[in-house]
Amino acid sequence: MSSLSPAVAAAVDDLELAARVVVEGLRAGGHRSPFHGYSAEFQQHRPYRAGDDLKYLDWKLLARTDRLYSKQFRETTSMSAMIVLDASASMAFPEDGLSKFRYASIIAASLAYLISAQGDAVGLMTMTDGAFSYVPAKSGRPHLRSLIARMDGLAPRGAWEPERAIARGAELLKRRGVVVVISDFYDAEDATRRELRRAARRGHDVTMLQVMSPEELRFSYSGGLELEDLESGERRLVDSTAVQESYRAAVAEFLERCRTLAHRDGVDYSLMSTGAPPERVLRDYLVRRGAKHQSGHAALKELR
Amino acid sequence: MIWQNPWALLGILALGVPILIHLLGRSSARITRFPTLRFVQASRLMATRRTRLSDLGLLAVRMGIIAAAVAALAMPLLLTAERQREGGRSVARVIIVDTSESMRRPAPDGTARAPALEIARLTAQRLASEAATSAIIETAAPADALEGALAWLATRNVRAELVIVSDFQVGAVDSVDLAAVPGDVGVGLARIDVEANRDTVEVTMRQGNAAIVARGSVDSTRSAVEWSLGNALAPAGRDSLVIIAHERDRAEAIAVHAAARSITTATPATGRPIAIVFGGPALFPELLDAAKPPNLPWQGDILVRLRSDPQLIAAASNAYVQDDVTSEPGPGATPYVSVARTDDGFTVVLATTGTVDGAERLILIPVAPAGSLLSAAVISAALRASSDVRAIGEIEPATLAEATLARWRREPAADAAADARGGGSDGRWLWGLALVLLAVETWMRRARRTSAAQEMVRERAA
Repeated sequence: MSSLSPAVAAAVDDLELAARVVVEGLRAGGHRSPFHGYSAEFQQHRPYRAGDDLKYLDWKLLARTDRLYSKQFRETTSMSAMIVLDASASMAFPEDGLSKFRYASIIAASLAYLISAQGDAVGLMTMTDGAFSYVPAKSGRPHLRSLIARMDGLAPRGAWEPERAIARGAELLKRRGVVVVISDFYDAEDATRRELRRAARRGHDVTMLQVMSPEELRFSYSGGLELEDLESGERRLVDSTAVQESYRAAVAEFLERCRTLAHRDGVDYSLMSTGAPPERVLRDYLVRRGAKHQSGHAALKELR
Repeated sequence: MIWQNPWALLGILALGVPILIHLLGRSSARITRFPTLRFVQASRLMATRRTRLSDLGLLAVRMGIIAAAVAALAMPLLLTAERQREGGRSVARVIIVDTSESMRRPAPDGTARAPALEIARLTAQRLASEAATSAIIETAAPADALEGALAWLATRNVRAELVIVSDFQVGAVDSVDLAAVPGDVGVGLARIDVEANRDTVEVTMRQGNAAIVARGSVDSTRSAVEWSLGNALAPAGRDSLVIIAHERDRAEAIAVHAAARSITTATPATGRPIAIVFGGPALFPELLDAAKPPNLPWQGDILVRLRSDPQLIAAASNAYVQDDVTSEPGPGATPYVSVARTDDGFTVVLATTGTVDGAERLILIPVAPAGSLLSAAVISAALRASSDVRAIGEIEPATLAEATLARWRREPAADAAADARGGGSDGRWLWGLALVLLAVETWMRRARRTSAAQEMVRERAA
């Protein structure tokens, strides 16, 4: 299946279709979901065979019986994931073409599709006009469709309170799970970081997916123009050529700060540009995440 | 260059409009909605807003459009030499040449010390050649010639101009004289400089056969006149004034001639031959068949003097009209010119020209009995009008200031001038320029829009 370019992604109205295209592309490339739950339960012992990983050797049983047994585990049902999606007005940029919100929705739907396809539960948390809008984490195809339909009905407007959305999303997960926050992370930077760190400390696998457009990364305008803040409506006249250098430096510093602090807090971080095909961005992200969790993943695969 | 609608130039104030648009309109020109302004430095924005104009090329083109349109509305007319010649050719012009004594003094810068009068005549001929139709009047009293000159101009259907060529001694012409000139008639005053009079001036007047001499001496502050009795004058030359009368009127004519000579102090000048015909035009058909209107400068001078002669005016006002020659001769329809009228408007003295006694003469025809007072007044006035005696006023050393003359000068009526030029102005070229600039402005705006769109596409593609 062909990859989903940004132009095609902008043209496809059906979010589920777009997500399926992305996920099927990933599957065709041999990629599997790196999202796994932690609930691997002990199933039985079997005699140790040469080549078995010594970390699965039952040392206590060896001490009592003087025989070598390896422990076998069974992967339990479900991992729960909560996708926290930023639907504030700043995500509506650029207003013509593929907006950050649409791009983030495709990424979120693709992740939901991917997680649901492996039998895990996935939910959605967002905030519009100061009110929470969420779908609890469940598994199953009807639920996935319901979640994607809810996501499809969202329109970016107003401001949001990311710290409240993240905290509420993490609370809704009944046990340790995966929290994926997709946003430009412009709002309430300190409070957002604080909530992400708290969620990580509570045992959640927290991921920051920072979505930016090429226009706001490069600021390659020329001449004088009047900028209007999408969220506050404030206007400023700028000589874009004169401020370009300082703007780029400030944005680079902001992105580096997000990346560094996420790493420090034990939060996965990935920067996604809407100029790149969502399939490729998602694949790169999954590969990086897969490599990071390779050891545990390999162990589970071994036990299956 | 002249502006035919100069008030339209006030529209040049509109040049400020595009500047204001470029300064103030920028806020609404390019609004870009952006996710956040937190990374845009505020200090540079203020400087940008206050001091910088964008699109200077576009601003210049827009200002050019307004300037061209305003200039076109002001109806400019470039007065090239060709146009000035064309304008001059559409003028009916009367040139009054001052032949007074002061004009006989040499011009100050003439190497050959030619009399100013000669320069004045050359000037008059040049002015006459530049007009569609013209008449030259040589007279020692320019102010008196105005009425006749205006009457001639009134018969023309093109724009009219009156030109006086003189040294403009004080008294030669004044504002009261020029006030009689209608507003649509142009007034040209051509000064001929003459050397200041430092010598004693002699003016000789005739009283019968006796001569009375006035000697005037002038300096910068005062003049003095000394009167004395001069030598007896020789009788006037027989060629100067000829009386022609029917046989039955001859005795009365001789008597009237003698009476007239006894009461006048002037002597007819040679070179100004006059004939006075008693009995009306009908009695001398062979003489008057070849008659032509007066057209020589000295003839105009004599007619001017006759028309303003108080003795002749008084005699004509109550004259008995003998024949049915009462209507004013129409322009170009008859060789006759009216010289004097009764109070009721009947013409009683006519003038024409013809060959009499072997010379081309100004012929005066009193329409009255030969023995009447009017006939005597005509002879007497003709003697005075044809005399070249110098007037006492010629001693006057002062001349009118150039500023005064400049105030009195004026162009012929503008609408007539426009008609004469074909009613056009050079504004059409400026309208054309404005349209071209408008096209350039449209092209520049579209080019900028296209460039911005392409830039956006490139950004997206990148």
